[in-house]
Amino acid sequence: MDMQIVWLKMAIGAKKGQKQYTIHRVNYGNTTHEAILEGVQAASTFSAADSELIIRHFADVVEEKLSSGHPVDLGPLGTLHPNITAKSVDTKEQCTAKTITNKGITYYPRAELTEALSKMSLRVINSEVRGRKHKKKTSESDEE
Amino acid sequence: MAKNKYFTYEPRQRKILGNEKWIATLKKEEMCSTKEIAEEIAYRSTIGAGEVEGFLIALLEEVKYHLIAGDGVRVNGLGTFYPRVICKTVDDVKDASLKNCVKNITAGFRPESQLRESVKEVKMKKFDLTEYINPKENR
Repeated sequence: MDMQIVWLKMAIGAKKGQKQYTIHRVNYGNTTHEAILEGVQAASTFSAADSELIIRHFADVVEEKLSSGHPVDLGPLGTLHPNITAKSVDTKEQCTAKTITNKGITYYPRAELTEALSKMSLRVINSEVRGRKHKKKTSESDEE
Repeated sequence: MAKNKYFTYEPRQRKILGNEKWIATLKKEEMCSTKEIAEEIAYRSTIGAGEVEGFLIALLEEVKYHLIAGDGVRVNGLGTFYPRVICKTVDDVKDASLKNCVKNITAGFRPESQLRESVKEVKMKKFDLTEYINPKENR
């Protein structure tokens, strides 16, 4: 996998505001839904319309299950879990729905997948160091 | 499984920075397996559950194959799976090497906006033990 050295300004922590260097994955664009569909179709007897229908229903079912609080098993990929973020309070009575600040989805990859990924070979492809724009401080990262 | 769109939370006591605090945590629900998803899809279509399950496994294996090859993969309606390299930062550019920076490689997932919004709109409900003991009387 191709990697590149980037610099960024730290937004939090002991080194807040300091310029730091790290390595990031070079993103050449994602494999599209159509390419995935083509690969699966080659190994199945379903027509393109049927395959598309199954995937659409699959996304709907996953959404319904997650929205009703159930984690979803995605086989070789791992699991998706609904999660909440909440503020801590001093007493049990104060702990109401109002303390919940966010709701989201957490992905836990399967151990076999993580193990396979950890064996992946990495290489730094470009010696040119690029800045990484921080969401809140875009003007500062435009310096280089 | 419950069809209602709500999350059940329960207050839990946790030690945060040395102080005893109460925090709302999500009540654990039953895991939904690939087989159950396939049965649900089969119920909504004219295709058999076994065939759907086989297709889903093939789809997920295909996504895994591309992930291991180092590509991000987008599945319509669900989101994007991508290889995630966890790195630490260094002070000097000369120290920025694979050996010094890379801590771990794992997989990440970015849900599609529709899925994310759908989960955000879910209402919250406090855990009530009596509902779990006799759900029919209380719903």
